[in-house]
Amino acid sequence: MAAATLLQPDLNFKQRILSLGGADLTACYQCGTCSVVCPISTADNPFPRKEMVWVQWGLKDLALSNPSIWLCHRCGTCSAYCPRDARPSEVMAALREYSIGHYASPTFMGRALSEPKYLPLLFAIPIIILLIALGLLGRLAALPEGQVVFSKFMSTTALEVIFIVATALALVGAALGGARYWKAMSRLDFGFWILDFGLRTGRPQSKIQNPKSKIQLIPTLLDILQHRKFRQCQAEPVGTRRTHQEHLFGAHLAIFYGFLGLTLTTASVMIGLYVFGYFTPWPLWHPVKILGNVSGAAVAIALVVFALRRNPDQARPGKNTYSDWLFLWILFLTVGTGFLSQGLRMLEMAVLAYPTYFMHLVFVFFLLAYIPYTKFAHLVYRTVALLYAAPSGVAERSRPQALAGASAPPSEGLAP
Amino acid sequence: METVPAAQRSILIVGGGIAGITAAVEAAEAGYEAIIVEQGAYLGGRVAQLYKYFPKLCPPYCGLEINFQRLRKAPGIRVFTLAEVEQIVGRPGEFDVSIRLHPRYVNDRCTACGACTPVCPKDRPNAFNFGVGTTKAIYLPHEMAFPMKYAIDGSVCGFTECARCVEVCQYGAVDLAMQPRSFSLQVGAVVVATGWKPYDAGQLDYLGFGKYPDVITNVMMERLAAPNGPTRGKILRPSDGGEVNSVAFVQCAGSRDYNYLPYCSGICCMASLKEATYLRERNPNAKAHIFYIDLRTPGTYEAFSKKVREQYGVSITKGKVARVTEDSTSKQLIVEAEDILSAQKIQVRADLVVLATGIEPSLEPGKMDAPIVLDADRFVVSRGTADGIFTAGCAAGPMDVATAVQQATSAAIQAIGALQGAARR
Repeated sequence: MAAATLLQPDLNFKQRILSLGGADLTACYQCGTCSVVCPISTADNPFPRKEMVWVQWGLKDLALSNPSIWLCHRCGTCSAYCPRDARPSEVMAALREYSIGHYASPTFMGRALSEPKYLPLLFAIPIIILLIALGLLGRLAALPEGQVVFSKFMSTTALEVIFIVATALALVGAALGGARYWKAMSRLDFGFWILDFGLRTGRPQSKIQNPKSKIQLIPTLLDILQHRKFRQCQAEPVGTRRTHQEHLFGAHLAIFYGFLGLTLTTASVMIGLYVFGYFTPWPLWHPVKILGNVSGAAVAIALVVFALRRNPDQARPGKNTYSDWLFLWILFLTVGTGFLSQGLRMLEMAVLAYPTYFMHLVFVFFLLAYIPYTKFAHLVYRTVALLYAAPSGVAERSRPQALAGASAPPSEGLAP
Repeated sequence: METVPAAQRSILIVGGGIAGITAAVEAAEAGYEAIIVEQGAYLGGRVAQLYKYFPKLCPPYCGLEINFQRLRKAPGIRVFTLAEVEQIVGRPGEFDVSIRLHPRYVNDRCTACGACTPVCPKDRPNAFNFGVGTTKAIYLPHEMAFPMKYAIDGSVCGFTECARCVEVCQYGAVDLAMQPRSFSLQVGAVVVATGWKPYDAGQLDYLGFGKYPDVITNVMMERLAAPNGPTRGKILRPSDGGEVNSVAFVQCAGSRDYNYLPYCSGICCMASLKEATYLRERNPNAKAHIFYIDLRTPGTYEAFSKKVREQYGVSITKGKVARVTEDSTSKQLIVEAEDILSAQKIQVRADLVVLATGIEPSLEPGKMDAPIVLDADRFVVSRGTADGIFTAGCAAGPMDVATAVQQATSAAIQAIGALQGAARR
């Protein structure tokens, strides 16, 4: 006799998913409409129907140890067609939020970023570090005289030390979290849950072979650069209902390339400074400066679109969690203080310009150092999921092969 | 001894389907007067449109015939077709009822000889066949219509500009001057047996109905299979008249769905199993495939489900069809579902897709001014003898024919009880 599989329901996990926006999932009666209308889930790895039952039953390991939750890009088609109004797309979003905390390394950072009470502490860290730096530079007594130049206030070297260390820590956190997620997926190897709600014992052939040699890094990165998944979310609609498809692709593309542009700007400034000796500030007409401002504007506009979509005036908005708003606000404050600093500097309003710039640095620190633990971590986990799933073709959108003439389905004989 | 007023011996029966007919004959055979008010042109309602009953797979015309016999023999039954109850006021023993009679334009002299149809120049969609095919503006509702009289569809008839049917009718049965009229009567009790209508598949934006002609509904399948249907009982593809070698049944098409009917329509699983046998009895090599959320065959119907799956080789898949497309070259339909038990998405090709649409109450809220209460799903709530108004059949909720008949009998007995209570008052 085969060894029985002992199910270990985790009801706290279920409760947490319910509170993170998945409250309607208990209505799900497992018809699979969601998996079929989903424009990107594949024949071999349909979602989000199975995720719904896993959460209903508190099967945390199954729910968190497969790539599906990150392959989903939340177009909302499943929720639009769900006959029970169980809102699978909200459940998937809640699972993603939960999983960021679950895989956070170190673990306490996950908790710190998911509970509002830790927010003052999280802000205190960059404030104290930056104040110490200013103190060491002797800038706490008086603001710099004369023309407003931010490097007179906070030296470039100090910024480099602080932000390189912060980024390095974030990279370590991201690598650890991503690795834990990868390991969890490999351990379950998402073969055995394919059958029978995942309750079947034994292990039929694994759906995903992932020898490291097959990792498709370049194609996956190209997909991300082209936002191919987002575009697939718009393909082959089954009917005429409204989903979130329209705004997602454009807005995310804008924010994505906006960030890339800002990163490029920072890199160019560094190269300009060290290789060519151009000291900041650069004039507004400078190409790099233009790139920076255009990128910043793209991010700002996309943020408005994302914030409006969270507007509670909609017929049935999804639940806006603390983590959703925190991410949006930090992004908004980062970009906002950035533009404000630039404006105040040009207006020569030193008294306002320097403190604004200080706040800008605090927000940038928050944004970068806490990447693996905020909603920003999607760039880590989604990439990991895409990389993991790519070799098997499970990440690839495909329709199932049509069986000729209503022939027997795979489940025949299993049915009661 | 006091004489009982006539009203206290009569029962109004709203609806002349199987439930209404049953309630009427049961009451009449017990010595009471029954007045059937039917909005259509014939009695028998939905049952007359079925090819076979489940689970016995026998033709409903048989049972209808018996009931029409009882109807003719029993004293004290009055039937009004093309009639609507406008208002019911009063209390048990003394209800005042207003009835509006729509013109049939054909009087009792009609012998159903059919001489009028060849000369009629106007067509109308064949409502009896759910819009498949047409009839002339002057038409016999169906072969076994009760009353066996033609009727003219006033919305398409040319009336005096044409009047050719008047010329050819040797019995003087066509009366184009007929006007609607209203009258009132008194009854002691009421049975609401207003029945059901198939859920409008056009509302289902994702299942291809209206887009692909080979996507039909379960009630259309009944007509396709019926010998008196549009294809004389041949199950053919509506698009090209081609042979049907495979059918996919889509269960819960509009039922158990908060976007449409939130409730289970109760009979569609049995209906699809039954309809799968229609296909196999004509084409033993044909394949039928039922996609379901839960295959609901309650009570002893479980045996029917087993029989159909074993003896008729019907495949079943747990998983709701949520995408219907067409192969651009072969023009075959492709349905897609997640096979829940293996967690794989599958597609199945089919020559014909049958949407198992559900049961919706026929009675439009507010159409009949009467002291009745509708539940959240617009079915009539049956309250108690004190009200003097009872329900029977699908007016009260989704149910199969057998249950509707039992309910109708019990409603007749309750109505008689109310009459007797009123007589003692």
